[in-house]
Amino acid sequence: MGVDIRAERNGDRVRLVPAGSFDLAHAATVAQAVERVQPQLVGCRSADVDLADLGRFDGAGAVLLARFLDRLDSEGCRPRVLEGGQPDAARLIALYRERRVNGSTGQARATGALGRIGAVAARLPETVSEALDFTGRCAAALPKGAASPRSIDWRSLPRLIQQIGADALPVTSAANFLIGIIIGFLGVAQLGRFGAVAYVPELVDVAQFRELGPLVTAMVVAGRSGAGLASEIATMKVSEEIDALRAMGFDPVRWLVVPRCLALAATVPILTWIGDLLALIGGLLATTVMTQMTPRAYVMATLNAITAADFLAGLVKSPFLALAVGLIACGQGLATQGGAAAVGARTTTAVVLGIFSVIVISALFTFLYALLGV
Amino acid sequence: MVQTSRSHIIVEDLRVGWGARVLMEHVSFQIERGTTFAILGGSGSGKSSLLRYLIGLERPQAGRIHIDGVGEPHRYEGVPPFGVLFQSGALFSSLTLAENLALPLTTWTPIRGTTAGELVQAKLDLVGLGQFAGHLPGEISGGMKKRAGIARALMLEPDLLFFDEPSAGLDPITAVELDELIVMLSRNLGITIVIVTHELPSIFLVADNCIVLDKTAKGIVARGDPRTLRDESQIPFVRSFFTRTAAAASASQRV
Repeated sequence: MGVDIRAERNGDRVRLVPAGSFDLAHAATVAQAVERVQPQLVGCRSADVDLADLGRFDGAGAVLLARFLDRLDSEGCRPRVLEGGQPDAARLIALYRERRVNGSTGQARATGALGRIGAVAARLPETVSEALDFTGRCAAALPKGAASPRSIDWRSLPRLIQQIGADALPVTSAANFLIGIIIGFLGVAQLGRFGAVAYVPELVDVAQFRELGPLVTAMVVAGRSGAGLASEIATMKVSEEIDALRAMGFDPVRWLVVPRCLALAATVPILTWIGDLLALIGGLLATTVMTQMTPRAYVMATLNAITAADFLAGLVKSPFLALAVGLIACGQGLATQGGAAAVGARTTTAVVLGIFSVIVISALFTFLYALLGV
Repeated sequence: MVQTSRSHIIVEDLRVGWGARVLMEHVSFQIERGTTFAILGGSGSGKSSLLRYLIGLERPQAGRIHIDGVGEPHRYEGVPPFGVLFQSGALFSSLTLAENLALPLTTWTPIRGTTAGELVQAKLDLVGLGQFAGHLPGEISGGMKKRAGIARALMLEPDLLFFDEPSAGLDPITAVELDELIVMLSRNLGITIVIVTHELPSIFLVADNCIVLDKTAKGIVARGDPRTLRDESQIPFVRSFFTRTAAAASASQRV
């Protein structure tokens, strides 16, 4: 059934007859019918809207007719609805006209790109201040926790070590093993040009123990465990569990953040150490496959090349990288406000910031070691 | 069961449960078109579970649910044939109220632009939230979220609405306002409304008919006009439910 609004003009009066289906399925054609009839209504002082020819009718049709009548009214053409045997339709149109809120636009949140950049910039000092405040509270939590051990959730520590350490072992091991293979291949390809393949084991040792082992392990942990921690705490925040902890007298930093950071600081060095071993095996595989060097010769060269300084240089920075990942993940989780979308956004931020901070801290350590001649 | 031409929903010999655990069985009732029907019962009686079956989220273990124009709800595919208000409102937190309402419209219909904007704004106006179109759900109160949930449920102009505990967790004044909104929708839009609730003031204000579920009986223990049940029922659990006396109810539960 077609949709139309017939206009029968008589001087400054008009009789409007909407005909056809005025429902959701025909909303677009109803809107077009309204547009078509508008030019015929210029100069009208009153309009009788006769609903007698209406076919299917629902709330959508009522809304579009109600807004049409509102516009007529505002242009000085007073509308009058004639039920024409359709009292339900007339009642619906009246309902949507009565309940209209003048001036409501629904566009309150529309902001331009420049406005959004400005808003981010304006929030920057507050963000930095919040980050420093959180770091300070975490630092203060350790002595407070030592003075009052019951304020820390020690019972969760084994579970956290399991989740962050043992469960992450396959992925950190695989990543480090592949890194070892990559360094081995690169070493053979580059050093081999100068006949210096014998130095490949040393290259793998130094690169892996000092830099790539801690870095790769911490980055994988930031992506895996950092995301898990951030989303767990963020969900607790939006579901008011953090508020409940506070209301019961617990400090969320001591109760939640301290055990998670301790678990990370304890497990990431172990993951790094295991990763280093696997990287050596990866380097061995690459070198022995690509060159004439025997596994025994590779192992002997490795044992000769490894120094305590290389080994410790990596292991010393590893807990700091772990702490950065933990603090950022927990901090983002605790800063969550809103609903499910905020949980996702904070988790993403935690991972991005975690990986970035791991790279920055690793670079700082390298700079420091260079200064100290380690 | 006698099926009348005005039947909108027919439930026959339904069994509800998970695996071997039967929550209720031999559940039969029908809901007349254009009426407001309440599913009542205490905590754990299976009210919300029954609602999940009625809206097709679960497949009945046995028995049949038939919705006029839809068929069996769990088999239905396509444009949602009814609106649902979940307990929390279930608004998408990353979308403004206007965007929440526009979502079903732009997903299931070709309506866009000004026309879509007018329809969304009209529904928000209808539930009294016309000036909050640009707000996020996190920025409005619990009662407002429920009203926005109702507006979203109405977007596709359904002739059937399901409400899960609409006034739960609201203060008495907001709860009454919400009940009055439901009555207004029922009277003006002529839609069938099914409400799951245990809020007595709501029941007497909005419901034309009801069933009372009891977890001990694993099914329906009473049916009819809630006011009549309150005044005339001889079943101790039903009387205690409607008069809020715990002693009779606990005696009934022990039997």
